[in-house]
Amino acid sequence: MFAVFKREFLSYFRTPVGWIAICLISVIGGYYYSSMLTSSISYVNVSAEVAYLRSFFIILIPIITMRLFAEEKRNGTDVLLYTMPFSIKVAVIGKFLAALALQALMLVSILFHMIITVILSGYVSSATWGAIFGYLVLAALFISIGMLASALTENQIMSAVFCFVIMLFLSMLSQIASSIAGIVKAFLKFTKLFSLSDSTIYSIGENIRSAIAWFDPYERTKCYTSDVFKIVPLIFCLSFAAVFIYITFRVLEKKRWSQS
Amino acid sequence: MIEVSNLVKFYGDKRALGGISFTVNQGEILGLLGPNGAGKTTTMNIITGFLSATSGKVTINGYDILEQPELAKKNVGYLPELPPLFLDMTVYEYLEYVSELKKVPKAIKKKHIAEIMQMVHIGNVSGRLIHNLSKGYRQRVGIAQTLIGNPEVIILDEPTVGLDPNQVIETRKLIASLSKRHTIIFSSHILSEVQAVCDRIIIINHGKIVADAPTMELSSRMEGNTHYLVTVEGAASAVQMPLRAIPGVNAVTVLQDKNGYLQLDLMTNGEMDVRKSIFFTMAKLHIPIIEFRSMAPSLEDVFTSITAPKK
Repeated sequence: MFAVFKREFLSYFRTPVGWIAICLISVIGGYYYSSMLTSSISYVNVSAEVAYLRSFFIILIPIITMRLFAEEKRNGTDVLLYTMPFSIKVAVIGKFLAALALQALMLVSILFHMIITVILSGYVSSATWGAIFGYLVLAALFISIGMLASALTENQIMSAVFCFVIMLFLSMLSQIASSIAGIVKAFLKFTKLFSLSDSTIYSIGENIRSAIAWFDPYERTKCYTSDVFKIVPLIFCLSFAAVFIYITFRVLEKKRWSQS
Repeated sequence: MIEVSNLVKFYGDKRALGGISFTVNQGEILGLLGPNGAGKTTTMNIITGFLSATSGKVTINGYDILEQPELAKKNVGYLPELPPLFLDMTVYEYLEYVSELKKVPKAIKKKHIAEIMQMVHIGNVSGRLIHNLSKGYRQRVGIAQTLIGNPEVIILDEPTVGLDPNQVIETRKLIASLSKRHTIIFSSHILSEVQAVCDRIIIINHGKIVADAPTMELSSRMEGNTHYLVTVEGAASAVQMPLRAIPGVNAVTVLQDKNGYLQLDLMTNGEMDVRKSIFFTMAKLHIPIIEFRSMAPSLEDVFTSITAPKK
């Protein structure tokens, strides 16, 4: 597994992908941090910076995951992974960890910001470490989605687009949940179906909203940036990541049986 | 030793392999011969574990490729038609990566890679990016990759495709030298190439084995009817009858009659050497022979001769 991890991780830096991703996060994070430093009405809150950086997952994750399997399939190097004396599972996990390690490395600028904050007699709360933890947990989930998208196609652009669409859907899940709840409430109210009372309709709508919003990974992991550690979001993200990793493995394994 | 028994592979409704069985003994160079789409690559992909068969069984040194894949794959080095090379790596980095994948012990890794690079003559490009190598060198790197971990079985899928004639000769020599230590399965759709390299030939057509015999035996079977291309300076009426009268000549076909030159296809039964008779017959008639050469049988001829019912 380490061989696959090493090859994949180093390959990010043999191409511009790794450098661009790190630069992008450093520039955006740096801009946000300097704004906090120079603002007269705000105070320096590194955890808020980390939380802000999460909104760039939608661009970064498709870029760093699109090549994981799609490129190997296109170049014919995937044959190495299938014909070597180990299970394809090992390759899947190695690649996943490499992408996650790159995500972790992107946060190196955050460490500098924490050091600068301390030097300037500021205060780095435990929420910052929580935010970093939440960032990585969320990244793990999204990387597993991107990796699955990459396993489904030989075309890197298609893979990136597929991952982007899923992430866009997930980032809008709370709004989508509210909209669906609103539609259901309006429908029940105006059609007077089942002759339900207003309070019951409201309660049905809210239940639908919270049921859909339960799957919103951004909302679930928000607690980590607020200095609150909850086990459920961790289990949520890791278990979904495990499911997507397993599906990726099955997709690749299926290829052995169905490819032409 | 490789044992392939009753291998069947379907791609959707299309049958690619229809029950292939053969055994490859230790130290043998087996040539898989067949036209494009015959099922050679599919067979190799299944043997290496890259593909799964619809039914049938492959064992390598007694290990089933499906049930004990890790043990079976440890004994196999595979070079597909498109070498699996990472163009962004140097030759050494790439071979180091493959040796890590093949779990070569750290203590011997450097020495092992150096030996292989020396064997396939790529030591001089070890620090160069694969992207910058010629096709011939890339092919050698691909072959080097198969040798990492010292597997007993080497499988090479059309390793000379796209190479220039010098590179083809070098690659053939390299394959021949590997046979001292490894069992080799080698595929090609070029008959002469398989004849030059292999001890034994299996001919596959439409997913079925149509011939399986030692190279020498198969060659003699192919040469049952020998064709000669003869160009003479003379008229067809003056040449055809005397040539037909030569014992051993079965048919004389005029291929071209242009500007006083006559190009003929002489089909002989292959049992008698008729070349001297042809020469003296033409000399007696004072008809100069401009060109005289034996025509090697094409792959199609081979199939025809092998699949044709024996008299």
